[in-house]
Amino acid sequence: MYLKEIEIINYRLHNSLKIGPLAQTNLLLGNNGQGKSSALEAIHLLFGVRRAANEEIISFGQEQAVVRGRLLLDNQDREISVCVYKNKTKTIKVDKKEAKKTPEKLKTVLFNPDDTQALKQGPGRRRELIDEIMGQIDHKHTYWLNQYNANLRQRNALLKSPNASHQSLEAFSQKLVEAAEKVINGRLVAIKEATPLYNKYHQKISGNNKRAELKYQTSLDTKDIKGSLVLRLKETRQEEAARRQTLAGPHLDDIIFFEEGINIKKFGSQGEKKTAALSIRLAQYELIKKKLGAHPVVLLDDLVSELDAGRRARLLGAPRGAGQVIISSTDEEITAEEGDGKVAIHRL
Amino acid sequence: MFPKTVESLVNELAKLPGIGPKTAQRLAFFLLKTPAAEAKKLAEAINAAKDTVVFCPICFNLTDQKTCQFCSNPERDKNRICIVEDAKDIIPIERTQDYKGLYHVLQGAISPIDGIGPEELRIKELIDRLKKGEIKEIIVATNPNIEGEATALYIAKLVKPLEIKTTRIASGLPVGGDLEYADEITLSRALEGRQEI
Repeated sequence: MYLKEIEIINYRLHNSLKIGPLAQTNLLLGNNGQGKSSALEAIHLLFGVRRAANEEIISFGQEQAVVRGRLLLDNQDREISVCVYKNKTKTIKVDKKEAKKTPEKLKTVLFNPDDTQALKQGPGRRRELIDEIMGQIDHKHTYWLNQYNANLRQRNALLKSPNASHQSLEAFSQKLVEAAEKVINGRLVAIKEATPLYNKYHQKISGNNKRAELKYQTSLDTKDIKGSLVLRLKETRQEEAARRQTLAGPHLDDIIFFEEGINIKKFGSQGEKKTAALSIRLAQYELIKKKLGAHPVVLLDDLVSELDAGRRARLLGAPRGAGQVIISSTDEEITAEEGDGKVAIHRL
Repeated sequence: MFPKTVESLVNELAKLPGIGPKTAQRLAFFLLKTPAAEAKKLAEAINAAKDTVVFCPICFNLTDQKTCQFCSNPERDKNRICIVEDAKDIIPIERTQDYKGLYHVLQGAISPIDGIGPEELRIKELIDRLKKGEIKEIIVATNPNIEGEATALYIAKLVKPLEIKTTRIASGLPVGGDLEYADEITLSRALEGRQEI
């Protein structure tokens, strides 16, 4: 997989932006506020991961945003385009023909300075992180997550409505429980596969050999997810009626990042949080690589500037190899340092 | 920008499902360009349909008679009812020519977000129909999405005490398709619902 050219239309502040021809290593240069992050986010969307709502993505006053990429896939020239519309829908075209989803082999990992927030904020960001990773390893995970969320929305709406009958609640509960089992099992697989890699990179970046691991935290019994969720929903019925929302299930679970048994979110330093965020992205990178048998495209959003030279070298040493890398920065000096002269520079 | 009458025509057309403001405009200008007789035909067709078409009092399908073509047909199997969300869902089922029973049109599916509960649907009427005792089997053919599935489960629970055989249409592979092109979700469902041969 090799990206040749990207075209971004009506995406946030980009009315029409072309980036290309792309090389193995690319530097996206621009001042603050010129849309480097948006450009990387748009490329991320092209690869099937949407991190923001359509209304946010589409430029003001426009009806749709388009990201188009020309690339080499299995030695063939392909054109992929993703179009998102105001009415929350999305179309994907492969070689101008409508497709159900982006080709399996188009995968990317985005390293974002924002990732550290996942280790500072509530559990939502950590769930998103693990769901994104699992969704890239197994497409079915995203399907079940959507099913779960849609069921949850309906069930919560039902709990809020004045004439919710026991039977209608049961009808939505049954499907909710089914989807919940798939979602939790998916997350457990992702955590099981990611933990050893996470540990490996964590030690590599921090330069110590402290044991780093991920654990899934849930109020349910992971050996009998369905049974325990059914029980929990029964137990919390009165409280649910009073608080008018579903009070058990994967939408309330958390993923805990540990370093030598210490919860990094609670007790870690800024640097440790940064290291944890980078390590999980590197684990994601390696998981995808294992699944694809090829390197995913790596997008580094302004991250290199945040790190000192030693950590940067250790970080970039890992994903750089055979894979394509796009780095955004305000700093031209990075080129000299990272480039070996083989860097294509794209100014915004 | 346009005369008031044109604007109101555009607005009315834009209320139709699947029609956005731009399509509504295009349709309005198309209608203005067509000969008056043609356009009148459309208006009359709408009027005639609205005046004569009513819901069948038994199954809530559309009809211009007292009862619909299925309920009034003595050849249909009176022991079976196929439950659908919309009257238009009857068309594909009829096309199979394999189903000879009756129908019941719910006129929607349970969707709390849209404020549609069981009371808004024709579920009570369905239960009344089943209580009359003639029905031996109901086939629930609501859509295989969140709302359709929940509606199917809801009906199944209500019908249980009546001890009537309740079935749900299967989901799985399209006939004549290649396994290679089936998406994982459909294929998983098909594997779950596999049958001995």
